Amino acid sequence: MKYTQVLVAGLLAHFSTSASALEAISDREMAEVSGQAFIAINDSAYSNGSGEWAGNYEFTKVNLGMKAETLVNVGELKLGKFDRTAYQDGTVPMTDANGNVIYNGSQRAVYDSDLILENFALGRVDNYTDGAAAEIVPFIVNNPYLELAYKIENGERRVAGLRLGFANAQGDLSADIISYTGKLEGEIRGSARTAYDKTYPNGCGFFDLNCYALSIAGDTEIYSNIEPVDGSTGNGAPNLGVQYLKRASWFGVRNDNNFKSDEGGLIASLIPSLTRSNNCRVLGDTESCFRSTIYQSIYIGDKNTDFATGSAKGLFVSIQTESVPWEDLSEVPGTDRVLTQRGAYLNIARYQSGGVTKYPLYLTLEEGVNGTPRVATCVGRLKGC
Amino acid sequence: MKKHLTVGITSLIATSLASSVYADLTQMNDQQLSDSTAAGLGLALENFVLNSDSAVLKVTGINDSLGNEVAVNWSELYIMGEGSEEGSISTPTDIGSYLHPWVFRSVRGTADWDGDPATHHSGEYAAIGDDIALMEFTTGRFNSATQNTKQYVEACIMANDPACSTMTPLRRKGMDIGSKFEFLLPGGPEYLDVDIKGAYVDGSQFRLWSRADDSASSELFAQLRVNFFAKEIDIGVCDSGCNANLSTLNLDNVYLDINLGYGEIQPLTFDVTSNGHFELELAKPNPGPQGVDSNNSAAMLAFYDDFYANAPKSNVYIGNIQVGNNTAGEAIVRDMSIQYMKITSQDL
Repeated sequence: MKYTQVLVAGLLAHFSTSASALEAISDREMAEVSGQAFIAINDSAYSNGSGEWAGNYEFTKVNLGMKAETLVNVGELKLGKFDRTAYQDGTVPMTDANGNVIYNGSQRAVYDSDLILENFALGRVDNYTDGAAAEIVPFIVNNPYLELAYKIENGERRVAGLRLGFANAQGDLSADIISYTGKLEGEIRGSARTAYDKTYPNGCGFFDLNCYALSIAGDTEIYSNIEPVDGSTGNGAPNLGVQYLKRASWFGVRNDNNFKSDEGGLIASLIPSLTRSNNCRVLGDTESCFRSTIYQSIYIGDKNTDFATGSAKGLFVSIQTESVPWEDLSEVPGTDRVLTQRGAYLNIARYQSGGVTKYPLYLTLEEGVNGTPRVATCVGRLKGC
Repeated sequence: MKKHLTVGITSLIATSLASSVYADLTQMNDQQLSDSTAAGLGLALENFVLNSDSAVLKVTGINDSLGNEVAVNWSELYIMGEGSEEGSISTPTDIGSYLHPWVFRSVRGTADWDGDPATHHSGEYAAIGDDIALMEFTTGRFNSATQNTKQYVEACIMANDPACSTMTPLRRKGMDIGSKFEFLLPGGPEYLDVDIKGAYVDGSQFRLWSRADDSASSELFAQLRVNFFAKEIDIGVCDSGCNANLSTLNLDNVYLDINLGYGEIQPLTFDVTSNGHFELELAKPNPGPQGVDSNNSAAMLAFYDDFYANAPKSNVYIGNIQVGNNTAGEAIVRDMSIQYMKITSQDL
């Protein structure tokens, strides 16, 4: 490795100053060149899983010591394109804009790939309409890694999965999310007054106790988590008894989940029961599921701090040919393994930073309903370059 | 220069094929070098077979994250013709041919920055000024839709052109390439056996050039196009005793169409820092060569429209990912455009 670096430096010197002669360096000079640990290879094993993740697994992880910053646009990204059947292994059906299931003949239609991200981009362009002042704000990743997973069975070792991840990442991730497989954890937060204004724009009806309670809650801060859901039923992964949904095209507050409040008092304590989600509705008739395409840009990490303190951990994309329990690198207390199954998987999940568990996606109630606008990823246009 | 190097290649072929051509290479002096016209050098290794047999190359200097040494034994390397059965049947291949050689040459750019804007994005050496020369290494070039791998893959692998039924049987055979590695990790040895079957690299290019700036100093710029297609890539992870049909990762129809850099508008640069780390940078598009005023918003918007329409994009396609009977399906990355990238190595 030491020798390679010296050789590369020598070649560069030759190209840039072609008139100068190369001279051999002495052993002493060579000994003063310190080797850099640019690549590290680690192996590990896991055998504490249960169910389809039971048995013996081994992993080889190749860590690359590098920091990369980029602005990249991809017209279409498709991973895991193979046949799936609706309501098998957590696969959810394709729906129209109103959440009605679309059929192919008598079969419920499903998207053809686990991940379909159109107009995918990392990074953004500020002042994008002003060609002279446009400024690239890159997406930053630190120490990417490639990891191979093997299943050991009957004395044989076979490849079970491959993942590409980053020790840390920060920046804007944008896409038209057509089909999503994996984990995307977000938190939606706002005042009860906002929920009241949206739900009851004309005030409370006669003897509408829910409305009265929400009205009294006033500025009480309420929050819930959002996740991929089945747009036709409002079911999330726990409702279907699976680890995660496959080919989801809706995000929202899943059935039986609700808003919460950390504040005390009677009204705050009523918030969970007032806001329990059922069939993509909370508070009677307020929508709680939204098309995934309305979330055009997601900021990975904490946008209010620098990379050292605000970057997200545990971001990865993987492909498995069978079930694989990947090591959870989010550092969130209590986490151990990310349980994945055959197909593609995108992990945009909670992570630990500064002793606090953070979500990769924070939304106001307004953003939860209306979506997050696309940050520009091209100069002169929002996307498509 | 051309004469001497041609003799050198003939000598290389002679070594490979154990024929009876012998020639002495003599060093050229500076005067002879300066007299050479740099017309270019064609490389054609026909009926080529490389097989390391039982030779083992030991690679050191790689650690795990705890600093333990991870020795790597590179125990196999072969380059043969398609159908070699993972290097077990000595099958010759061509690395370039006399009709379609791999070429190393010095040529002039084709963009007339001070003249016709239509030349900026057209011509063989688009986006590189016609007032400077560049050095280019390119693999074989094929013009027919059948033999040009990029055209063939886009028509017959990523799409299903009706003409493919007649094109496919006429395709030349590709290369088989394989290597085997043993990693001596603290938890025990691990194996990686990679066999690439039916590989093609025609249409790949690597270009280097420089242009003196106002202070008369110049920097080395580059542009890279990787055009790679393999009918199959098999990755085994067992040393022996495994059923390859059940344990090997099979990738079918793997296609890489990677473009890094776009002439002088967006060159690729490589640098090494004083502390021994490398920096690879693809700077944001530069309007300077086209004479666009970077302070004029409308002109810059037109410049970016022009860049988006003409700078080559990258594509990746894998037809199927499978182990045993389990498939993870196709993978597609279409129209990837990097507007900015900077990679800096660092200690782990």
